[in-house]
Amino acid sequence: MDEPQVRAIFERLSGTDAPPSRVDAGLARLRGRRKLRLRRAVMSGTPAVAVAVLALSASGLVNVMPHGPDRSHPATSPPPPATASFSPLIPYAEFGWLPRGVSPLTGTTGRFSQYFTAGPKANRTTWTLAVIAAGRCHPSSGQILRQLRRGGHPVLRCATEPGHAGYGWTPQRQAPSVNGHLAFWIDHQIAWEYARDSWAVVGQSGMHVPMHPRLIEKVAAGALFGAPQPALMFPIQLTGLPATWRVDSVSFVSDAGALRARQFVLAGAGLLPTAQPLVDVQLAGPASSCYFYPGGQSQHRTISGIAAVVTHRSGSPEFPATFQVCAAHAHGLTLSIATYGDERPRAVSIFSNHLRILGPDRSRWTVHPLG
Amino acid sequence: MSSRDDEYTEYISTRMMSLRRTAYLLCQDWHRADDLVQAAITKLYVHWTRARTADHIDAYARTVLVHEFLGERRSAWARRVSLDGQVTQARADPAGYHDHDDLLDLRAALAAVPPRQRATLVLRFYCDLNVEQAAQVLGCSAGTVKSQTVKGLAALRRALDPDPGPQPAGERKTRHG
Repeated sequence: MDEPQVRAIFERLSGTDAPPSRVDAGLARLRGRRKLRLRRAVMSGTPAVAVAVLALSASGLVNVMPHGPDRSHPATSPPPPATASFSPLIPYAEFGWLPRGVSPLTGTTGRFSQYFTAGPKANRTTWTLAVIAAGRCHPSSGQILRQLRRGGHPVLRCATEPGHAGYGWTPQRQAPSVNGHLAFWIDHQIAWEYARDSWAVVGQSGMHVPMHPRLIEKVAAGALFGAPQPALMFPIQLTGLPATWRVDSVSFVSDAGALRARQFVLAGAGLLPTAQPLVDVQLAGPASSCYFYPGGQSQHRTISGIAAVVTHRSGSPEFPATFQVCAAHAHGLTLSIATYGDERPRAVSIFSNHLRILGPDRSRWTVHPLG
Repeated sequence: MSSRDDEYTEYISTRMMSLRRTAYLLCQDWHRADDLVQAAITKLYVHWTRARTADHIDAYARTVLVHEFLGERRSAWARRVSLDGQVTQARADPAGYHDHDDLLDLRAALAAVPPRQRATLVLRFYCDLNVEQAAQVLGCSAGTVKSQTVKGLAALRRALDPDPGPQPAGERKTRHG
């Protein structure tokens, strides 16, 4: 057993098909904040709460990774239109040119930012493309350049949700222009204003991938924005939900030419960001199973003729209660629906009264997840 | 959301895949890996002010993750899973993701390597850390890293031997479905 063999084993194992991530950065923030509050309370002499909170460290919920479409275009992108918001149902950007053997894998589409990955094989991302809608980032590329030339340390802030302070990127130096637009290096990423007030970031990732600036520049130059793209396909449809509910973001996977949604979040008037219903839909396999949340109470039920696991996780002052229904084998799909807090309808009701299962046959999929 | 939160979220989103893969190699179970990462990034958030100013934030995050793995061996996950077979099984073979036999063998072999030696191998040969960097993450001396590496390689070799002696049964996964 020598080093190359061990490396090969690790590469092989880590490249196995991974289920969608259940790691939730939002949950980590909430729990982290709670710990910080506790710590401050302890530091300031407020005692009693302390012990209780330290005991509360449950496991992860969900969140999904992104994906992208499926094409390889030459780097001749037309001037893209600036848009103040995207449709979560249609990818706004896509990779154009990619190195040989690399193809789009996944994507996440939101209203103000979208994120795509590409790699040599599923679950092995080596390239990322982020695109941010017009008017959400500042300062402008010209201002950043001026600051860099004065020896300053500009910060590019992009608020991808209303009211957010924004992501902070720190451009380090000017990069070769991307299709005539000012561009900047941010570590192993290149960021540029692809249209007025609209930014994109292309990066190379991967632990064993040597960084090639020229490749990054080429991938950035090939990125396409606002080009006609196929809509995301959904293997289920939800009907009769409150009229104010809409799809807020979708994570999808490139599946033999189709962009198959595998998780989406609903939003609507009055729905807090921490209480947005979450729908997870996968193609079922013989070994499909449901995830059991250690902190919740689960019971097996049959809903509309489908065996399901219904889980209730109690709420707390900081976390809304969670209601989840998971069916490992629902007419060829593995489904999970989660709702939070007092929102109605709850997961069980959505599953039994508002769910149309279209199945694994792509000819039956829909581009309208809310009917 | 504050800019602190935004920076944190951006960092996590770009490193999630790498953290998950590292965690998976440490524990050989994707769901458990997610639990590890979830716990690690929660700690990272608590210490974000310090982490963001660290010389190498990835090293900081990796350290938190490895410590989480080594720490959980003594506490929560092991207890939670060993007490409930159904949960173990559900977690071990998540929806639609099957391992081929050879992968099962590799997983079993890696699982047979004691945790600290396994963590050393992962840091050295997956995360590409040198001896000193690995020692920093593990909180031990460079000499210890070297000896753990040698022992870990030997354990892995034994586990992959086609004519092995008795193997540790502790973490061997059962396939179902």
